[in-house]
Amino acid sequence: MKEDTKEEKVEELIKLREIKKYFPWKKHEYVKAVDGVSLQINKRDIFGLVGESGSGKTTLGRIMLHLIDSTSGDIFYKGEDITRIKRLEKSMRRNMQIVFQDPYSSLHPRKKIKDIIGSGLRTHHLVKSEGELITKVEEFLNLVGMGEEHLYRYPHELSGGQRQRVAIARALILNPEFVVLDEPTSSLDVSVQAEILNLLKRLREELNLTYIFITHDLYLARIITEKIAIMYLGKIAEYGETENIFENPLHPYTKALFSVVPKLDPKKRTKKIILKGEIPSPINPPLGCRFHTRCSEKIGEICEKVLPPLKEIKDKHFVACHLYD
Amino acid sequence: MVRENLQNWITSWNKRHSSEISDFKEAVYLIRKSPLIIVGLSIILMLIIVAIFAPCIAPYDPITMHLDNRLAPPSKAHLLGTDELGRDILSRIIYGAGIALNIMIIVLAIDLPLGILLGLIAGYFGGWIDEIIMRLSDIFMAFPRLILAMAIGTALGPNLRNTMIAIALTMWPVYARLARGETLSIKERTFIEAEKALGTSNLKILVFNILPLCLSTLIVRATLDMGNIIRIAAGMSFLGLGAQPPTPDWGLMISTGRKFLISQWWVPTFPGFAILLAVFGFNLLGDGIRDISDPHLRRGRQ
Amino acid sequence: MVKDLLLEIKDLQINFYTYRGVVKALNGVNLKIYKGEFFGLVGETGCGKSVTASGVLNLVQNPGKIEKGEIIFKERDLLKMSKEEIREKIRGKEITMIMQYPVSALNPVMNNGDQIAEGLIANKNMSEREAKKRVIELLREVNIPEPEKIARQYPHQLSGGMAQRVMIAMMLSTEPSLLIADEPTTALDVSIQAQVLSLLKDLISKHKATVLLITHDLSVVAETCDRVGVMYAGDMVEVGEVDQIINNPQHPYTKGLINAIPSDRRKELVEIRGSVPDLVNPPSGCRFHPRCDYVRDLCKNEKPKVLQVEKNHIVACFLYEGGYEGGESGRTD
Repeated sequence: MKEDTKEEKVEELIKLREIKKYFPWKKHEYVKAVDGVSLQINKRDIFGLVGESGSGKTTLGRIMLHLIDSTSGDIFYKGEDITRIKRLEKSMRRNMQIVFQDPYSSLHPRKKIKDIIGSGLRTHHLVKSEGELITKVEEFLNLVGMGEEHLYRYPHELSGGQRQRVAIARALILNPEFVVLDEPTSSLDVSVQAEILNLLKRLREELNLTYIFITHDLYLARIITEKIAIMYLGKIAEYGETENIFENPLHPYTKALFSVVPKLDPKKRTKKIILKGEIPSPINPPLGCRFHTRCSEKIGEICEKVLPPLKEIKDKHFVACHLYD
Repeated sequence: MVRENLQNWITSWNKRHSSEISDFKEAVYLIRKSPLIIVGLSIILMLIIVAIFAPCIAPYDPITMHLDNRLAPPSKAHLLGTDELGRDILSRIIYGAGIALNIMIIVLAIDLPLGILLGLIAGYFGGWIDEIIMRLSDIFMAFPRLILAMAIGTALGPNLRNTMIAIALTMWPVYARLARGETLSIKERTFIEAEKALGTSNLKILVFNILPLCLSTLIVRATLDMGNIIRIAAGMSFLGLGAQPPTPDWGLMISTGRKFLISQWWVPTFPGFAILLAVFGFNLLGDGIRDISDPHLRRGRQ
Repeated sequence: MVKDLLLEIKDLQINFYTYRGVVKALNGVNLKIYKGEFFGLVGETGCGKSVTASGVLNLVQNPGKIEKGEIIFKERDLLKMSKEEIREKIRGKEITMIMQYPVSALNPVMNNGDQIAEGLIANKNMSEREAKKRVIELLREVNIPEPEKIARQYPHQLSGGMAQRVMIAMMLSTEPSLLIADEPTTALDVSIQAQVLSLLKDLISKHKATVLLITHDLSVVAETCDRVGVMYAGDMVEVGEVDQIINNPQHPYTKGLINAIPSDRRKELVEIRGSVPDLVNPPSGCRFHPRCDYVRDLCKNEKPKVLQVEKNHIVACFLYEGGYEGGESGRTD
């Protein structure tokens, strides 16, 4: 996306401040899924949350949608503090939608496609009759590249790619302000993935949407996102504009990740930074910098004892690493 | 014009329900492949037809006594013989079918809704309400079914209606637990989370999303229990707690006919066969339905 | 250097008889794997790559049926062997397999060490003590830290990456000639995937084994394999050395696949139009023709012959019969 020459007013949609989410685990132990994350999503962003398992990206996505509440920290929606609100009022709820990873379980197996997509329309009283519902559902089916012959079908009659399109239609029919896309193509075949991604890109332009794209696939993130946050064990390791991060990764974890992602092009295969050991458990994350147990560029004791803050190193490029103190 | 409209409506209906139609076709295909279901279904259909058309089929009135023709052995006039009060056993068995089915329907009509309601609430909301419902069901399940039914039946007074209530009270925990178990696993599934994200209320999630998925397991269980209900009801009547004379209830017929087992064997034996056949039929049906339910559910996946 | 042929699959056809009809899963697949190589079999869902692996191990079960074909392993046709012989001599010994979800492939009630030892005792006639010692050696070889501790643990206590390494240790313990790896790293995180793949490569060269890697991820194949076979809808459409396939793909599907993958080389994903065919009613002739930008009438009627593009590189496509005018869409290449 090229920048406009005239100043565009940046509209803040979601702001997270020191969000933590700890899940109780057995007696007196917690899974520290998200352990202090602050970030801001603006209107029209395509924001990527990238990480491996245990990074907390999925949990963070749910928190942004207010589907789970946070253990501590604050969350603001368009400037309004919604941290304490237990159940969002309907008008807010419809503005935050989600497309899930698994198209095989995110659609109710016994409901027809028209009812799956139309469910939100009924809940929010956006249609007054069955006829209106059908018209609107058809409109969105077409928008995602499917025809009205699917209206009366059941999910099991559709392929994975088609189901995911239905899931997208379901989310978009409410005209949300932002959509969390939680690994929307991970369960799909490669060729289908390309279709869905291109569809998502097109819809974002047509409907002026804001996306929060959660994925573990680095190259996918590069293709679709404009801003990206690399997460590790519940914290953000590096954050900034996607191209900057890819051209010039600063955090040792990011560098290692880029080096070990399998590449097609043999010339691009640089020496791999094979990380030692396993990803530590989020129940007992390492003290200090979460990554120090596997880091090949560890400085010393400071990495083991002190949590590095997320600092802006270059223009809008943030890193949490003592190497850049 | 009218004909055209009708044809259009039929075509559109076919289009809108083509999925259900093919599901139905597949179910029929599976049923045809399963001898269990065919036999079970036949027996039960026969039972239902007999029950409905009893007044037309039965050769004699089941209640009127003919004391001059007591304990007559099976003959052309009385195919299954007569009982100790001269009543035609075949006719009584025919009318008894209706009674047996009636008991079964009423018990299930109480238990299924009650069990589903309690199970869904307990499973979905958890917490203290789950505790209360579960402990309540524990209390009822602590007693052997027949004993509990007998106790309740005796307390309420021996008649058919109270038998049905008693049996229903002993069986609801099973359905509640089943519904609760299904709810617990269903509510974690992604499409439920999706409904929450869409803003759907808890009530709607329970009724329109979770309930339809529980139904199949519960119906299978109910089918398997049908035989049991008839058996327990027969047992209650046998013990004098259920139907009272002169009702042509099969269990009662065995009870009153018991003393004739050696010399006039036909008096208790034929009602016994009737119970056997009915229970057998329902068991076959239940097993068969359970067998086709499982792969049927998985068939949707690639 | 003359390469020894280890496994040759000739014209393998496998069908599945289901309620909906006959799924023609493998349409006459040919494959040659040479001793010591790391061969990648790549394709999307339904292409038949996993079915091929099952076929090799003769694990095709009802409703699947091997209709015809030969699988020649060390000069014997596996499909003609008795079930007992395959079970006793081949499966788990000469040919072993690791799968996508190692924790579910491992026995949950036996500790890790015992599971590996079991195979050693049965197949290598080791005593319990010798086997236990070998187990620790094997675990160390697969880079498992604290092998004694891990040997005493149970599969559910292992992380995905560790479990996969235990599987590898187990499958290498019998010193197989061929190791089949069916999507071994698909369920693993990227950083762990890199560890496991690099481990596999090291071990293979050390033990002089041969690996058949099955995956949908062309990048993984690009990084680890020597040769690649691309499958589509039950057919082997292109086979060649990794560099040839990645940099000189000939089959339209292979090209499409490369363009559709998010990778280091593109900023955009190009779709392949259409969708994977229903194998109950597969397209006539070349199964890819409905989605092909270069389709001609010939493609709809006849199954393409296998043609040689360059040394070690073959493709099943009419485009390479020499002298064609360009496909229906008027494009030339």
